[in-house]
Amino acid sequence: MSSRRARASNLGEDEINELVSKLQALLPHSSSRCTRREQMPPWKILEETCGYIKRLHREVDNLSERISQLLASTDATGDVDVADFVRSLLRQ
Amino acid sequence: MERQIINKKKRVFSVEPNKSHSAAFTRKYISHLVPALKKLNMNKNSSQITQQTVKHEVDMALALSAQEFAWSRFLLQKLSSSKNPTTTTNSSSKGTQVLERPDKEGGDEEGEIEEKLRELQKLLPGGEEMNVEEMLSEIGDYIKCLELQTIALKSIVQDTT
Repeated sequence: MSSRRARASNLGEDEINELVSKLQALLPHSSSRCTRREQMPPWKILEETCGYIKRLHREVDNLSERISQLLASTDATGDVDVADFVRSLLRQ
Repeated sequence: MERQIINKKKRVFSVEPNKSHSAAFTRKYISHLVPALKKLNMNKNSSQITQQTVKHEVDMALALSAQEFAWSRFLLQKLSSSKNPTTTTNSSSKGTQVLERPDKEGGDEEGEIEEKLRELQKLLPGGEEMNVEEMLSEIGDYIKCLELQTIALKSIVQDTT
């Protein structure tokens, strides 16, 4: 590799930063530190995004665990009602 | 009746520009997952229900409900090929288009960004097959779907307890 900073993508730095800054809107607002939403540096946004996704993955894993326990513990007659779920979702 | 209770509780969703899209995804998700769980429940005397079996159905429902995104196709591929997947965060990094290592020549921040991008690539199903632009645009939808999935799963757990 002759180039010092080899870029695998064909995007310039600015374009990457622009896309990355859009991610900031997706992150849960941890506005305890700053009252107005400050512009986070790109690497920070990426870091938070990674952390958030990992958190979501863990949460899904935990919920799957609980569901498996629930299913394993209920009787075979314990039926899962679609209408109930939809209703409970609407309640949220 | 129950309508009053509904009005008192605020929506968990934050400001979603496209609420109907969220609702459509959630509907699809539930319609995939619930029958799959029912089937597991019915067969539980013959095959044990583990966290892995449930997770498999959970991921499958996610992939099937979001087929308009590239990542869902990769996820589906991964699930179909292995009956017993570990988790979606499986870091089998045989990445084809992984970002190259920077030489760490001054301006470390850029190296940091590339490293974070690589990490993000590993988290997104098929992320390593995409270029940066694609990955960054897909990651937003992936996060939203994960959030909706979490809400759906929580309501399933709450309802059954």
